[in-house]
Amino acid sequence: MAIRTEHEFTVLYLAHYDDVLRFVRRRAHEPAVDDIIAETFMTAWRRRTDLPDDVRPWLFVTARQLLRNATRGQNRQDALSVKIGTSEARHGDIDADTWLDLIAAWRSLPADDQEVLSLTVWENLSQADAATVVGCTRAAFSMRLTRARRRLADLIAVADPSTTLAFAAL
Amino acid sequence: MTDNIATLLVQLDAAPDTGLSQRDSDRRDRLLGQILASTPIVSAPSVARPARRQRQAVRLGWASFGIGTALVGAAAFGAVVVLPHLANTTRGTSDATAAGPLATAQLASWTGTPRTLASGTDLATQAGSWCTTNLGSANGGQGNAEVTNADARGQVASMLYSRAGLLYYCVSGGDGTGLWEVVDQRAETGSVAASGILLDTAGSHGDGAAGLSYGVGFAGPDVAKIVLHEPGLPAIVATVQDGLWTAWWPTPGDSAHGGPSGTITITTKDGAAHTVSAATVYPTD
Repeated sequence: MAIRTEHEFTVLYLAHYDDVLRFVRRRAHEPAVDDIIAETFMTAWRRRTDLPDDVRPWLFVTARQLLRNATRGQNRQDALSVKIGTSEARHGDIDADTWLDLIAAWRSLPADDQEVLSLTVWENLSQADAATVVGCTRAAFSMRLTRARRRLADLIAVADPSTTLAFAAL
Repeated sequence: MTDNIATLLVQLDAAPDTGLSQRDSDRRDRLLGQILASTPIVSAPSVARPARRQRQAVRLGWASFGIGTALVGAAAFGAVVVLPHLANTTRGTSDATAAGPLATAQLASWTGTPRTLASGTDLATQAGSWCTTNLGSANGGQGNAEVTNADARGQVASMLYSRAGLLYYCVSGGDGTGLWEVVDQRAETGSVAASGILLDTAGSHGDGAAGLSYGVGFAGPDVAKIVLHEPGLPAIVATVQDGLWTAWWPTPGDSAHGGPSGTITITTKDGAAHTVSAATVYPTD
């Protein structure tokens, strides 16, 4: 996709700003969000003549790289931890204990597991696009996703063995 | 992707799709102005204001993409029924529990050969409703949905569900159980041979007696039928429509491999059949 006019870039920007903002907010400290967003789209603008046709994964790759650069001094891991919302609003049929178990399990999950789960659950990416974002093959991503699901389920089961049965019955 | 746990994860989203606040909108518009002012395109036409109308136009463009609504009938009732071990519900014994997106009774009703998911039946209505509700909470998207590759294996329906520019593989027992995952809408040009298939998305959910695996992929234009052969299971006839194929099967115990792991027999429209290793249909990119 070659962006030839400011209007074309504006259309792309408006179509993806919200998605990229939420991607960054899930992973960055709030004070850093604006800078990451700005640099992501500035990079897209600089490279407007050779953007891929499907630009959404590319924007996530770019934002992820900027996030990793920003956090490298604090945290040397390659994967990015993904934040979760802990607001009061929650589904009516989930009891408070289950909710807390889920939050605790997520926070115990390795960052790379958080990342593959979040890309498919929250970013709504296909496995192919999610694999592009984390830089692995689709087959490898599929395996990583399966293992991440299993580890999360195991963590929840450890927190409360009865919870596993509750999930099964939902 | 989701199973019941991931369905709950949707609600843990730290940045749900609730639309931009006025503050976010102001920042967005200010940043766009800064970017465009950084190195303007001299010969470009006048810059359109980042008005909401433009954003809506883009979204409408996505929503207008459709993949057709005709349903392909699969084979008849009466296929072999696999009976996985019933879940032991003893508390606190991790190897005796079974947790997954479908109930073990639903998995026990699974058939290798799917039947048509008849419109208007309880299963079609309830499973469709489950998909609509859960995909809605996942992406906040609304609008008309289009369904293809709809089938039923025992008490469980599966379908490809298209809405708001995204295509989902959705599997539901229609009673509050199910899973979904975003899948690609089309293969890259030239990546699928006329008589070949390609796997796009695969995975496994659940554990113990509640384990299941699935595969979704692309089929070349000459492909008429796809049958997966997984160890310990009867032949799994995939549902093929509009160049896309879908299949799911129970994988109790430790038999899950995150997708197809045996062989696959592909029959073309001229009646010729060839069998390939499942490993060869995984994308290598």
